[in-house]
Amino acid sequence: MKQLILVIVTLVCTLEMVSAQQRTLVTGKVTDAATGEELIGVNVARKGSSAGTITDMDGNYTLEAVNLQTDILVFSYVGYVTTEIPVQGHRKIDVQLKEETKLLTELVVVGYGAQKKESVVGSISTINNKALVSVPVSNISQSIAGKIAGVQVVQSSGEIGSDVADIYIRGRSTWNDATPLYVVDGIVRSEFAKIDPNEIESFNVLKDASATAVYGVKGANGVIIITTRRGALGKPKISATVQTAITQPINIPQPLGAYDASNLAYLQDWGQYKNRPPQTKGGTLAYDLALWRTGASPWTHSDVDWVGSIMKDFSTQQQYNVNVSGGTTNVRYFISGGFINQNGFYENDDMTKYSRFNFRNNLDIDITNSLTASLSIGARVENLNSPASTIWSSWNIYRGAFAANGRTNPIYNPNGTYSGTGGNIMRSLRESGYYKSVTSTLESSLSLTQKLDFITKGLSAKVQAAFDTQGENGRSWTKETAEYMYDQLTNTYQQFGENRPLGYNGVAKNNNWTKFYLEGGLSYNQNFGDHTVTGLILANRNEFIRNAEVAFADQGLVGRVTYDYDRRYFAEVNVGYNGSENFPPGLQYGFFPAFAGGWLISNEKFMTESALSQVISNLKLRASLGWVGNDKSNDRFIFLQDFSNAGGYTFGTGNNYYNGIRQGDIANKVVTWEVARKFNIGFESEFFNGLFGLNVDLFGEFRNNILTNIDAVKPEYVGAGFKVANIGETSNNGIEIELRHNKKVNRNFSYNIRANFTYNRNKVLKKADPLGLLPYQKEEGYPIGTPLMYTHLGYFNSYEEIWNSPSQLAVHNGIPSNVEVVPGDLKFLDFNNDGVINRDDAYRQGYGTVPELQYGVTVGGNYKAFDFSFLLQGSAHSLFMKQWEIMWAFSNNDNVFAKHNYYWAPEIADAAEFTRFYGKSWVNNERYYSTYEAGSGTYIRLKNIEMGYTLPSSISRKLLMSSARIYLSSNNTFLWSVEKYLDPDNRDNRGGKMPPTRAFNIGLSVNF
Amino acid sequence: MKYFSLLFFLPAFIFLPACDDDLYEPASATGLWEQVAISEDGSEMNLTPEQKTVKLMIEPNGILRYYHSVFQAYANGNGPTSFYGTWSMLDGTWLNISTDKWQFNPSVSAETGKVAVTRKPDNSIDTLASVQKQWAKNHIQARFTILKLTDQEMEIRLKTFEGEKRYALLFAPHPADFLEIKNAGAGKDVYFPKLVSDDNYLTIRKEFQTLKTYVFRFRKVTN
Repeated sequence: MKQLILVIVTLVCTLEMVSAQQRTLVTGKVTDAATGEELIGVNVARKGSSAGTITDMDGNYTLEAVNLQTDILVFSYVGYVTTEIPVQGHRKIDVQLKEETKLLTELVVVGYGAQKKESVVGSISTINNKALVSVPVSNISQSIAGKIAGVQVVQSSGEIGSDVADIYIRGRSTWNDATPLYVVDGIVRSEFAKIDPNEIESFNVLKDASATAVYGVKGANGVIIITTRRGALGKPKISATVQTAITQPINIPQPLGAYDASNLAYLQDWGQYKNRPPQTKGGTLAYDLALWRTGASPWTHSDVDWVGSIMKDFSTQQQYNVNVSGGTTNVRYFISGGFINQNGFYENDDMTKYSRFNFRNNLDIDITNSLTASLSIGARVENLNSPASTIWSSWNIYRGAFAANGRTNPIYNPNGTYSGTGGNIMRSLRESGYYKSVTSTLESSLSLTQKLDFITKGLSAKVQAAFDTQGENGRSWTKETAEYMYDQLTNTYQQFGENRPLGYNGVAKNNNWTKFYLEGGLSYNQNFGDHTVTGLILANRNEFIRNAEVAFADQGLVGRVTYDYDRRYFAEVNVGYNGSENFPPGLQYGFFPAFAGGWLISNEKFMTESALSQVISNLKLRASLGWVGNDKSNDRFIFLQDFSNAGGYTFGTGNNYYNGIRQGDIANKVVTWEVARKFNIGFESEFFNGLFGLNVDLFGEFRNNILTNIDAVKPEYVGAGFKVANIGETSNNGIEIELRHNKKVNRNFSYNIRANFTYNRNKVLKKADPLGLLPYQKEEGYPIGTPLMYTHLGYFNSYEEIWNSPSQLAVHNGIPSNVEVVPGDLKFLDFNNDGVINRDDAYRQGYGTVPELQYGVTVGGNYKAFDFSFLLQGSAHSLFMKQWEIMWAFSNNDNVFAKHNYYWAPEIADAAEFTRFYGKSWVNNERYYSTYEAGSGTYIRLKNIEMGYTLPSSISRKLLMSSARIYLSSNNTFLWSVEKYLDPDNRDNRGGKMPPTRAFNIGLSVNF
Repeated sequence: MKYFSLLFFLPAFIFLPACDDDLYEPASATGLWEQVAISEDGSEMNLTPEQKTVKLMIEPNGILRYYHSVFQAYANGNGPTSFYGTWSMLDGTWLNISTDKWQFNPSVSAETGKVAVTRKPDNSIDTLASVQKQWAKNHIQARFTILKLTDQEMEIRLKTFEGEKRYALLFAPHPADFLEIKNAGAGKDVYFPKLVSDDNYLTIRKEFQTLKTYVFRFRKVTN
């Protein structure tokens, strides 16, 4: 036995010695095939073995025990094509790795699924979460402006907790609700903006009918699909982000001081005695003015800067996020927790705060080899605290401040009480009590995906259920505080209002909704040689219950078939068949098909086998045509006749009064959805292996059945009103261009430029314009929302000019007939050249409120460990009207701003920014609805700017981190706009909404 | 690195704000100024002896005092010789001065075309009551362009309607354009613009419709 063992050991040792003689060291260098740059950290391993090494700082590697005859070395690196090289006796092997063409592997999220990017023939734009996470904003609707072609963003309010921007995809084609459909993780959801950007994997915008037809009756306005991050196989990866920002509102109106405001009030004949302090009745005007000028009598002639008194120069905002992801072969997870805190912009106000906790847990479990369960839970809790006086908005405080009169009384009396007769804004801000609201939102879904390869390869089934709920509960505690007018002569106070202590005032807001969603379907994906076929069919049902209302419900079927031949020719049919409870029985369902085709020219042999492939690395043509719907309407159940209690009658003897029932507007028994017929033709291209890229899309839409108010065209003899009818028609055509340039100059420096440009113009083709309107006054033929205005030509500069101009006295629509036009008044265009300015001279002109033109240019770069980027974003061809406080002096209280101080006077006529004041009633010819009131929406913003520094890995590893980056960023950094006094996005016609904010941010992001 | 620097500073180059400097400082306007001359549409105006005595005291606190002797003879020789208003500077370019002005506002009969006057019981015209209805007194600012402002000289321009200048207290009105209010009472003005009659109505109305350009030149007396 011993001998046998000895023989075996000897034999084994001999074999090992022979083997060792054939195994030896192999060395080499790995570089980038395009730049020659050494690649650090490339995995180098023997095929079939787990043993391996990685390249060092110079791209060199040394691999031990390589069998020179039989081993194959595998070189793998993130972002590069994995390369296998047989050793074949070589002891030194240098390798050039090619960058992976993302086109082959990258998946693009589409409606109810995902497709390889090269096979996508719909118009879809995507940004990833890197474009969102470091922007210091409270919600992601503010982060996307200028980053995606075809997406128009208008942020009309910066009020904390209510600052979600309006989003339009390729403009608007309806005068009804034009907001896109929001889909988060495959489920239609009512909002997306408050998702923590750290939770987001991709943000996709589906624009043409091919992409949105699967959403059928809800897809006409475009679809935004947000996919949240999920775990992947590997050790736990922990990421943490901390950022803190200084924020400030942009372009707050700055009222004039008391002296200048008084001067302007004196200039107006009615203003002589307006708001004169009661103590000085009988004094001379010069005396009052002198007191305001010198500030000698602050108790009687105050000079309160209400805006400056209540508004902070800046406020603060903090954001935190920690997330962990990873997984085993069977379970993958992504867990994220985030927190944002915003402080308000009111001075001495420690109440106004908004905070939000975000939580997400995405779990994927392979129950068997063919069955996967996916659980997605997203939750957030929002807390909003504010003074009780701003429960509904900051209108009374913020707008009140810039319109307030600072000349009549100070903020505080000598004894510390609030001065005034009931309108002291500081009292209203600080002594009205407080309001607290909590809004809790849960978005959850569970899906099971079963591979059905045992039936046929590539077939799978998926069922999904979702449950969402939100509850908003706001309660207020109010108190009353009296104001006092101080009489300096008698040193006495007159009380206005009562003093009542703080007390619970009940529930101010209580809103709840619940949503149930069910989905089940089959999908199929199979290759047959050069042929690839995919298919999808699913059924879904959605129910949304808001408070105690009848449930909103829709259900339908979705279908998709795609075909690709040899990765060159692509065809796709998408259909949605769905209906809504909002339409009459028998007319509830609609069928929405879309057809698309694509040709990947760069995969043709005449390209791949020619020198052209060195220039054109990707070129795809695609086109689509389809029909989608929009079921949104302001009123529900338009097909039902409604009645209301109204009026009554006396019946019989005595005073027996009986309430009556009155028929409401006549029901529309055949109401249906809007239908959009959309076409899209475009190409995607890349040149010089990604050095340049250009995508162009031409799109067009015809929308009909738009719900329209028809009361204006009903005959006079019809006594009742009508409900809206599907008679409106519009068209919308445009172009999108995306340009990309990426350049790795050397191993230390690279840069990229991305630009997008979108232009679209819609036109009203049919709308119920009132009878009797002149052709140029109808909405038909003009973009949606184009105002009917007179054209303002400037100011009359002399009587001679007035006498030689068309008469404006004849106007009865705006000017009282006894008001004489004098120099300094507005001069209008005699549009129809009849010598008289009257209502026939108003015509449709300008633009609607949604910009026709939007663009963005992002420039980014890396130099060693530093990175830098900025985004220039702009829009044009839109306007908004400015009226009341923000436009006209003294139109509501004491609102006069710098522009009013440049009033017309003969001496400064060339520099005038406002009409004359002298001897004018505030109701004058300025009451015209004219271009004088139109604010331009044209602007360019330095939207974001960011600079970052990534710690060297040697340091971060010592700190037990895999990477760490510190960065400075800002949002709304600089604005150039045609409109001087307002942020052009701040579209409230009275300027009463808190404007959007500018933010400067410092952040730290670490990964473990 | 040069590329990186270029990218870094690009936004700054694009958005480098233009800087405007105000032309004149308010402090340089303060002091006592003596009127030297007035021109109307480029021609030197003929001034009465009373109009030639105008002085302006521009005080740092925003008060403006002005002195002339146009009304000195009123109230038995005790008429006012000093008046006050306020002043401010806008953008270092314009000088705002508030002063008493009278707005021409007589009522004219639509039937007869006659200017309305108030009559006494004996049917004679009640001049005081009439002019108080025919003219509205306001204390409002006039806006001058500063043409020149040095330690020694100030030149300011006012383009306005002839009547706006003629019936303003500032810069000494012509004595013939005003009349004395007898027995005005304590604290009341003893001067008022002249009576508007059928004879002068159109002339005065025309004055308020005719644009003129006035240039006022001053010499500094003391700081």
